[in-house]
Amino acid sequence: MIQMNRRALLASGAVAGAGVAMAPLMKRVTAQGGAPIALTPFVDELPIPGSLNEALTVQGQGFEDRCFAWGAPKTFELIEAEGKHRFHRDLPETDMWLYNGTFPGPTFINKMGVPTLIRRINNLNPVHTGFGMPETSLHHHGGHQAPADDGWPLDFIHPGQYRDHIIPNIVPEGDYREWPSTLWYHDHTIDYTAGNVYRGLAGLSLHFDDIDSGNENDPNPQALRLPSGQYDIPLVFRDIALNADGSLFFDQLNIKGQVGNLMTINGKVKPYLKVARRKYRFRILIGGLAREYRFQLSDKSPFQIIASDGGLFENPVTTNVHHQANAERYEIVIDFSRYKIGQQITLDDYVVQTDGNKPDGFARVGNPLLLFVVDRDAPDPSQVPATLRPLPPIELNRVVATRSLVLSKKGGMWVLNDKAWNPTVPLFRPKLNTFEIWNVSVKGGGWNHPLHIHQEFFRILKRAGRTPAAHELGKKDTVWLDDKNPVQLYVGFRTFTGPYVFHCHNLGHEDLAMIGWYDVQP
Amino acid sequence: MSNLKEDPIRVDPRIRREPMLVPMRVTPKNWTPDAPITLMNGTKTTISALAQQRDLVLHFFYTRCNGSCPVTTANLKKVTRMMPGKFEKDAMILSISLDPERDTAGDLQAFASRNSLPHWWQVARCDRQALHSLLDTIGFNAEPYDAKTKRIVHTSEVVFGSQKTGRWRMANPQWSEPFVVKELFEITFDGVQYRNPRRPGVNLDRNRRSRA
Repeated sequence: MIQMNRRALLASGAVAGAGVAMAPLMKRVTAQGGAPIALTPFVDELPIPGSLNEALTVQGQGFEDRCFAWGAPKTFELIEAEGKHRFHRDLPETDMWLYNGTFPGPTFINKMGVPTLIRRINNLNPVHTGFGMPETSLHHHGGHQAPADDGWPLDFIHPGQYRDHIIPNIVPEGDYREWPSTLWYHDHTIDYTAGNVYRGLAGLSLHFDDIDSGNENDPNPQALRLPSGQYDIPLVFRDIALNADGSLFFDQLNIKGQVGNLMTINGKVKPYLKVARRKYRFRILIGGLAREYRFQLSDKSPFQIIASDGGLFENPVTTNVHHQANAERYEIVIDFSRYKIGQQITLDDYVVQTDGNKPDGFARVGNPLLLFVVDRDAPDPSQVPATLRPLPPIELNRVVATRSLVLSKKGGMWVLNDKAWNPTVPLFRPKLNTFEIWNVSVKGGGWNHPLHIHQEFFRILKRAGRTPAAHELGKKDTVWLDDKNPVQLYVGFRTFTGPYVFHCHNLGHEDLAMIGWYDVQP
Repeated sequence: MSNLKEDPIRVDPRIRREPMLVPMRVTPKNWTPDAPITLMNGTKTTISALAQQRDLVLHFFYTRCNGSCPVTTANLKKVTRMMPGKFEKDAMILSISLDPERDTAGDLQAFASRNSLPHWWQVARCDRQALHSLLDTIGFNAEPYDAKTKRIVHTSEVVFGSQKTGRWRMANPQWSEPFVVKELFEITFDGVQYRNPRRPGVNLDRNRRSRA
């Protein structure tokens, strides 16, 4: 057995395909002889995460009074347990931690005004060995929920315990314009979020209402009739690194955040998707640890961006290139009617990133991640209206404070406003039912940070002093930052008082220890 | 694992299909950062050998440091006082010199004596190559000794973990509150036994009242 350090492994590790440089992530492994395992792209069909069936048996103490204040809930059981997942046809199964046995976890379907009650049961192995911690928390990312249900990092439960999370499915001040579209849920355990999420504890949470009803044949004149059903497809991007035995490689002490060389979508390495000649809605989540993406179709055709983290845009944005950071969600509509049956197109990524801090640059040639195979005709009653969902107004007359938030590095750790994580002292104390301006910047040029603020969507007023790009004008819960791009945010604090965290969503940065919290005062 | 299966679809030959490689490597579940070290009493051992006996906190310092090292050392002492019994029973702190060329065994003993270090707080050094490899492996930043200033610029995080759980983390006792460091130690060393998580987010009465 040879212990290899990081630099030695750089020279012996994986080689990423398609022109992407190898990730410098192997730092403490034992090397074995023999040729690496070569994986062929586009041999696995893209899996679509299934939705979760309602569980009628969930009963117990403690949730009823909280829940029924919002109305009778739909109840679901979410069971965390060890399980196996195969990332590629030619790989052995990988030991993971799964929600209800699947990766990504099952998808929650939420309707406005109908609370979702999640009974989360921790059935993980209490004597687990290796990275990740079997004590788990849960954050419904982007959700507007009470602090008790929001996934406070120290609200973890132990193996053998359960906890109820109430997702009230309400909007601040009853404003339908605040209704989201694509959220997700994931582990949020203090100091161990990266390892636990990387082990598999993540899934999607989709939101519908009368306007975005999920029915492209909806006769309701209010309904947008966006592509729906089998034509509404989530794409969860995650880069991973594997050992030869199929186990996940994870670097627990990587303060930069880990990037992997195997690019997966919905849990499969470079899959393919057979598509009809019509419009598709794709809900893109970057659900990895640190990697950023720049998407483009292989033929450079345009597509429409219709939503970001907080839901639908007011107007679709047409583009042919799109950059997205970790934890951000964007929804795009691709119209495959322009292609002939038999034609094949790929969704390519142009980011070159060899460590978690930030991209090295952009490749001249894209790395094809998803292969679209146009194989049939299909009727297309869907549409992408010129007006989607109006955005809530930015009411500067309700702003009561302006704050500064600086993301930097100190003493080898990541800090917010020079403060390391301290669960007893909030960084800010905003007042309920007010808004604030946050001027957020990054000190030091060696890294990017996707900042995530819990509890309510914010808006980007300025980026580097200017009006942000059209796709950043919508509601957001995660904003990409670097030292040259400070942002000015309009942040609200409505419905709930109490503690909520905000943190870098490069999970390596979050765990070490770029996380703070604010305490909404009555 | 040969790759002889037929493709389920016929991929257009113009589509780029460079194979992706999984290297022949295995990560041990109970990996421990390792280096040969010499304790201040002259005993030669390794970090992994010590980790087989106790949970470990790796603390990096040099005896002539008048910057962050005294603060980190003092704060670590506060943390250990908040964990009565833990270190006496099954954990230890290993302070490793960042300046093996100048820190003699006598210097290390003087450091231990000056700080009244107990038996479970060992002070050690290793040779430059082993130190460099160790720091590189765990990602600790320390610049070379500057003869002009007689200082070593370095960060101040500690690395701690447990061979029995295979978990290794970092914290910064210089900048973090001692109780935060204590909590992270406890979670990492004994997560399952750690039964009293701080829960400011679960005041249900407060949440009920808070509804607009």
